[in-house]
Amino acid sequence: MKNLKNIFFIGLTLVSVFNLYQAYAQAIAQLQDHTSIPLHSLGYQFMGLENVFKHVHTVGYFTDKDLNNPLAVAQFEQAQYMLVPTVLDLNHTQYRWVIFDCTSPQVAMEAIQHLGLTPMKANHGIILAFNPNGS
Amino acid sequence: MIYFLGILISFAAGFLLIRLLTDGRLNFILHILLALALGLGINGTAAFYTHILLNQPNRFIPIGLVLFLITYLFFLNNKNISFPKFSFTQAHGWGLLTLGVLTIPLAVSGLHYPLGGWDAWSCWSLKAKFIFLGQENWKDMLDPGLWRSNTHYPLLWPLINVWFWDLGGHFDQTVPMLNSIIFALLTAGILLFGLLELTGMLLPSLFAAVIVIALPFGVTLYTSQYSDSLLGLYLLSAFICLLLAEKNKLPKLKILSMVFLGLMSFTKNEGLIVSGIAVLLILWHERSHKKELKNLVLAFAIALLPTIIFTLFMAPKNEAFINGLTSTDKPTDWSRLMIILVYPWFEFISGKWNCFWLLVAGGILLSGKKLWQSTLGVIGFSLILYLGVVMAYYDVNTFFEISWWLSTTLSRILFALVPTIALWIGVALL
Repeated sequence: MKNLKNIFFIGLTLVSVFNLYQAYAQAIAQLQDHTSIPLHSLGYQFMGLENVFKHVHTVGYFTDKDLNNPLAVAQFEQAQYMLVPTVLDLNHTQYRWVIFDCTSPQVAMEAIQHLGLTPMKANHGIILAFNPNGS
Repeated sequence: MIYFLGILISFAAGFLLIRLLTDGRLNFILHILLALALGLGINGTAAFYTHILLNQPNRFIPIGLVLFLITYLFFLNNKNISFPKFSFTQAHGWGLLTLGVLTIPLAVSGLHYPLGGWDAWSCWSLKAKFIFLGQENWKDMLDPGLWRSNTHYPLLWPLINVWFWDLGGHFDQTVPMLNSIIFALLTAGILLFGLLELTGMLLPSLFAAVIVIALPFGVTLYTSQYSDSLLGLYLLSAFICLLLAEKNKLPKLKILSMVFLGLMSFTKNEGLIVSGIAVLLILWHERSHKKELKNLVLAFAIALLPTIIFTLFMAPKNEAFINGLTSTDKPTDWSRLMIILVYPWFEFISGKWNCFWLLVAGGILLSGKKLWQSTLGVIGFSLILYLGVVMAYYDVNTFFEISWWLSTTLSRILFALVPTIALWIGVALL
């Protein structure tokens, strides 16, 4: 039994040393990685829009992206996070302001023209449009 | 700078409350660590009663409430407010050095993911921003359109962030990031110094804390700003207090244990389940101490109150739930059950855990029946029953495809239990 306990404590020591080594290796890799992480930086494209939406309760968020794709959902959810307390209504365009996050700017412009809206701002493929008849 | 003032206020509230319960007889370092964990929970509770229950956007009220509590506790403590006798030993030095070593990877990871992980921006920090920036319109976060953000989930972590933003007067993304690091370090410290106090063994206590916190997968989850880490911290704190109450003959620490379990119920729905199970087992274990039972129930009820109010009167229905036992469209079946029974074994041997579960299996075999007796038995049966309920829920709720659901959530459920499992086996083995 004592031998087994000794083996257990040797295992405990080895695993903790290995974990610490890996944690530091991960930290060094993170320090050296200056590229932005796609999944974690999608929301930055929406920064600044919160100033346009001051006192606006809800805005539309139109996308033609496949929402089964995690990146598309992540983009919508980070946009929502960035623009709180304004609520983003996914794929509803009856509001005064509508954000277009489409597979290409051409697709977004076609949708904006089709809906009779006016494009106001563009940033990294995201287009903000004004709906004169919006609520 | 303001953030550290908030930490100081939180610490003061927790410190005085624990001092009132223990009369300064608790190990000083553990006293400090548990005080901060408790104080942060008090902040969140104060923010709940003001922002949520009374719908008060005024940012000074939650701060004032905590300061009032500190003043009140100070006067209650005034007979003996001197610091307890404490001799700093080499073991304490090694413990603090280990915490310092663990801080670096946590801080780097926190800075690398300033917005946290997916559930941080889609759930926990999102709710915090709605409460703080939405002011009296905070209820927008319960909008059915935001069903992806788990609108029915409890609010303790978001409200702790809100309390700090109240103090600073503005939204600051560094607050959830710093809080995630603080929660990880508190978990490490409470586990390390708790094991040291309970067993007197320095090296295994240091290794246990390192294994739990330095696991790279754990570092990522701790800095993802998920409520699972808060759940894990309070579960660990509750059981440490329970074990210390027995060892140091400090029965009032059991009251603190119940407070931690009550706070834990407001971290996640899973926290409510495990707190319910643990409290029932503790009360059964303490059934011969009839005089104490009343105080234990009262302490738990007070800490549980925000959960009850939110769950019964505010939380919207869970949109991601289909009862597979009654549904004809998505009924539960044998294949689902088989996946649920088999998947955890693949999770246990997954490389991301770096043999942690192998060590757990070895520890369980070496500890034998000691793990299932007395207070350790309460911990063991709490863990087993909780995992049983979780597995049953996976089977009954057929809203999600089970393989995907298990692959995205089971590791987090286990992650929250890891510190408590390390404590449970550590105390039995050392």
